[in-house]
Amino acid sequence: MQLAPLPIVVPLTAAAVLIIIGKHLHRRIMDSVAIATSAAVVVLTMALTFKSASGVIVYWFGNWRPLSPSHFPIGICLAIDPIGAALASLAALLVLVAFIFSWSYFKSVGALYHALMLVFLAAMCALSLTGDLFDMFVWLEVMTAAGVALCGYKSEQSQSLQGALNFAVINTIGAFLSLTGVALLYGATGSLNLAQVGRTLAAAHLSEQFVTVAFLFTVSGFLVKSATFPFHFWLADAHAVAPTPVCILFSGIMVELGLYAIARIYWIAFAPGGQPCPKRFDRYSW
Amino acid sequence: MQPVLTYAGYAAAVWLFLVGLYGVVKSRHLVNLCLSLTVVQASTYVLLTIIGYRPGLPAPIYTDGLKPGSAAVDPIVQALMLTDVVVEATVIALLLAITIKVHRDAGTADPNQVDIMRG
Repeated sequence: MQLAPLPIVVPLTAAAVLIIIGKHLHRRIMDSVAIATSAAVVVLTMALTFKSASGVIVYWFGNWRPLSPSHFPIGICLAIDPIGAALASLAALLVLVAFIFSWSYFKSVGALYHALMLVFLAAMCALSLTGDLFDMFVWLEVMTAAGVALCGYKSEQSQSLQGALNFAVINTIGAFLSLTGVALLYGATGSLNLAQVGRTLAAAHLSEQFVTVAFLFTVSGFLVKSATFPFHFWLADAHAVAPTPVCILFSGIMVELGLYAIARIYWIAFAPGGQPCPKRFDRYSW
Repeated sequence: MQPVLTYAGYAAAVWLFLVGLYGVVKSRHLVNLCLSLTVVQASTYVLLTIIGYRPGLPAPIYTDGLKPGSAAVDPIVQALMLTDVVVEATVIALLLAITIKVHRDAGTADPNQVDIMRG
């Protein structure tokens, strides 16, 4: 039994089950299931953190692995390093804390809340563990979708609708910019695998301008997600109106994951081994 | 012939992006805003498709007539585009749900008239 995909599979499965049978369950049962699921994810990601300390764990979905390390990768992989796994366990821990807090915070709450929080958790784990550029975009968008729904969860308050709307529109436009960057990188390198993109960029003689433009497009969606100046305008609206347990996740981990994704893209795809792709970024004083 | 078509594709992607962005900024109705967002989104479809386009090659459907292993248009970007459609449909559905809520609460869907939408 492979451990690697479980932090994503477990919360998604639990969310689906809660949505299907949630109507017939007592609220405390749903709370308990959600707490148990996030605790399980904490344990799983902790185990992955310790396992990955001895070397990056690479898991190929559907076993579509390259024939040898030098072959061109076609499949989609998780590349688990200690930092990513540790961030995933922080995310799981915060979700666990948020669920414990919402035990008495919400007077009444439906299965939708638990399911959305678990989908949010799965997206955060996947974003910190994935080794694929397009996967990063997809999980960024899943995070946005779950986040928007959670942000506007108290939809009887009209401010929370405004916050959710702002959040959705600005983050979606940012994600489109990222997708544009991913498309440009794919067009130039023929791969979506972060490490392979890094290898090709280091070897290929692409123009400096192209690599810079592709980098800026790719990171812009994550800059919006991490609310870095000057992309921060949505943050005040969304954070102010989100329910407190959701705010724990927004401020505690979602924003930081945006920065982490930028670091991951930069150091793996654009500066493999800590070396910026041949001299390209030197002049920008990175 | 080929460069003209390729450049036209990239130009269309840029144009769609800018037009959609203008629509998002200037929209006076939340439904209009959602539709403008789908226009922005359409630019990524065009871009992805044009990146996988190979002049003169057929669609990558290997049935009769097209032998496995022969050259075709890149299917990966088309798969990416379909994933993009699915992901964004979710976001647009959420936005439309919020729009209905706003209209029910405030009686209007004009962002400038809805009191809470200021700022």
